[in-house]
Amino acid sequence: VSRREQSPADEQRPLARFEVREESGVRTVRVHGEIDASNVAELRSATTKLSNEALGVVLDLDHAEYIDSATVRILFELRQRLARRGQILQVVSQRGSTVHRVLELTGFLDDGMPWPASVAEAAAAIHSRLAPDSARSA
Amino acid sequence: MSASEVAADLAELDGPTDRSTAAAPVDDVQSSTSILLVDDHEENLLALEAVLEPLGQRLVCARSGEEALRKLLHDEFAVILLDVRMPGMGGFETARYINARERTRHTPIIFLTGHNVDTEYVFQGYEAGAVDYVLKPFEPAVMRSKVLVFVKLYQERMQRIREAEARAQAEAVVTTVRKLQSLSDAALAHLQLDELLPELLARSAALFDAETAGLLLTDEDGTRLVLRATYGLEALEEGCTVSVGEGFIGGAFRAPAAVALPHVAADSALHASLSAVGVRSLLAAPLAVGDSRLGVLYLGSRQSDHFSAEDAELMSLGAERAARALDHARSYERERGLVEMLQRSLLPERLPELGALELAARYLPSGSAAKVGGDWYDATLLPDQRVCLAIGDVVGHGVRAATAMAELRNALRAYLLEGHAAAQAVSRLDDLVKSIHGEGMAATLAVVTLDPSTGSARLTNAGHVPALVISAGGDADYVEHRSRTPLGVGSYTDEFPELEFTLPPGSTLVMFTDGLIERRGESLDEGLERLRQAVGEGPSDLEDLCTHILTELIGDRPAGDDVALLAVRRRPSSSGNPLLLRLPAETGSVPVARHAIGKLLYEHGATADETHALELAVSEAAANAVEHAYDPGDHEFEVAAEVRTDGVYVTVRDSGRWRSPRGRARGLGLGLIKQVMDEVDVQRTDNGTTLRMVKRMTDSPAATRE
Repeated sequence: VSRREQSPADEQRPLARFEVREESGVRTVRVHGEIDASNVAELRSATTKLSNEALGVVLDLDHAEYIDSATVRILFELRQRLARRGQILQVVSQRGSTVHRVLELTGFLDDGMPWPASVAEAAAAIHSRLAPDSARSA
Repeated sequence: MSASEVAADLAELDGPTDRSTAAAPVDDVQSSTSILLVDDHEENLLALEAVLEPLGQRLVCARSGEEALRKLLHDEFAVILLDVRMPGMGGFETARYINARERTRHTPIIFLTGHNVDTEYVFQGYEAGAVDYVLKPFEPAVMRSKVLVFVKLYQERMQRIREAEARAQAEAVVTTVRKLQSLSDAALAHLQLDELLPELLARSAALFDAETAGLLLTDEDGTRLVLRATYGLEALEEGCTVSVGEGFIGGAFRAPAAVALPHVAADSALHASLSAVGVRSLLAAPLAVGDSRLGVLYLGSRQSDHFSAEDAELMSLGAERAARALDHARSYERERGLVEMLQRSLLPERLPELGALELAARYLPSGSAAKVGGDWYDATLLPDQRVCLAIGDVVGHGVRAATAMAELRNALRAYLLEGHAAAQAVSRLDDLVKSIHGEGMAATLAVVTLDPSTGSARLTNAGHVPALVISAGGDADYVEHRSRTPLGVGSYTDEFPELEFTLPPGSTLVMFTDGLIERRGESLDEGLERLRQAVGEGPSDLEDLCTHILTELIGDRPAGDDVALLAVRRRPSSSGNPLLLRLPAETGSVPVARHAIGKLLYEHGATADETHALELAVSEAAANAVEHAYDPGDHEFEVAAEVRTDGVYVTVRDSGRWRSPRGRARGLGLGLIKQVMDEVDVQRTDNGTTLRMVKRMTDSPAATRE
């Protein structure tokens, strides 16, 4: 059983860092670190103000260490908002990770959402407006 | 050798000549050696008597083989002169019988025969056990000298036997002396009075084969004797008394020596009680050292007249030794009791209760009264929640060392409470010792300040033995640290150096004084290694570990020096309240609470999944608590967590009012908590909301630390 490494220096760092990138109509937001009630607003602002022409958002949680219900609440809202505008949200997370588990536990994954295995796959899915079936078992 | 010389030789011998009566008292034995003369001719016997008379030995005559054998039944002979030709049982046949008997097998036989005998006869004679052959008629001088050889041989043999007996007797005396010494052996000198008395009684009873024994000591004003210890038959209650001079036992107190009482009379309550359990005879001795009389030692037997006059003499000697042991124990106890009391009064009565730390300590006074005092330890909680652990040894012993130790302890506490770091405080103590005591005093001291929540520790050492850290897994290693000279000795201008180290959860810091590891003829390193080995095999419970250390390193032998031992363990588990946070009701507190519980779980060796579940639950609960507060910042909420053997218990309490979840996603937080925790309970009152939750762990992290 693996033990988590932790250092006191964690306290000094900002909880999370967001890398935002836009490429051919798809905004990719890569999250490093932890998101909770204290910094969830940063996630919200990183995912808003998307132009009408944009196809959708890829939220890359592969490098996120922690998310909680506050995060998931934003994801529900974001998905709804994007859907109203005909845009797509794709969330990338490592199966078996704690982040993935929270998404499962909150029912966010049960909403019939396609599940990409990587950012590239997620972007491709947005472009084709199709969910890649093979990714589910990846 | 002339006859007179032989007689002179013989005069020196007065031991038993007859082995069949060897058990008889020494003064009963015959004073000469016997010679058996066997011949069927009376004139031959007379001739032999005439020839051998000058030897001065007892001559016994037998006129036939049969008569010779009869004589041999009752007497023992140095030599047998045996005529070969006799009617009836001949000489050879008689000799064969003599040789066949165990007792006479080695009795030398000289055959007497006619000089015209053929060699066949001679060989037959030797075969029959002859040692010599004398031809008739014999030359008197030759005959005498031949016989004398055997007489001398016999006497020498008897002498050897007597010596062996004397040796056996001497050995018996030595055994008795040894038993007597058992009443004054060195081991008794180290027994406390309570242990000494029964031991003396048991040994005395064994010495005199007595069935019961008792020891009475005088009371304060010396008028009554109080029964302090008994052995064997339960006749008397300890504590019962008899007046000095009353009855046999009361009278023995003033007697000059031990006295035996062959028949017990019920002339005192004490005697009546003894009599009631069947004690028939008594032996009692005064216990005295010089002019002072301490009490009476008595022995009792169920047999009348069990104790002889010799027993009484021996008992007097024994009582003298017992009295000395007793006197020693008493004065020793007084002196030692005084310093020990002082010393103990200066040590912390109980160690502070610290949730995250477990503390145990031992103080073992020196087995030698002159060496008690000077070792000390202390554990105090500092205002910044750190704990100060100190252990020291004031050079010297007795009252002076004990008071010096009190000074040091109080000064150290004062400096630390003023806010000085340990190294600063020790430097100041060094100055203090020099200014107050000048050259006259030295003391070693090791001080550790420890943050119970992080395990961060700082060590300052002034000439003290190193501290030992035992990991949660049981590996023991000394904290390597450059130590300075003891307080009051060096001349430094800078502060004492500090060593920083971390005490991980579940690990134990053991501090001690040199009395624990010092042994005569052994280097310090050997002692340190012995301790390291002992703790490696020690039990996990901290109190048990302290006991184990003392048992392994000191055992039953009296400690040569004082021993102080202080053990501190950062709790890995169960009891205590390892996490208690009061946080402002704002979202910034959410990660603080989460990280705190994560750290706690990590320290307990929880798995990543368990840690995540607790982080999630606490984080959600904290977020709820923050949300409940109407005016952020004005309120606080509380997070308490405890890792027990069966799981992790968390309580999150706020003072706000519960708001019903709104909208679709509102119940997400509590939903998550319920999914990752095994038990969740929410209580809402006007004063606030309390959320209690438990994460069960079948394989408790506290129990499965590697």
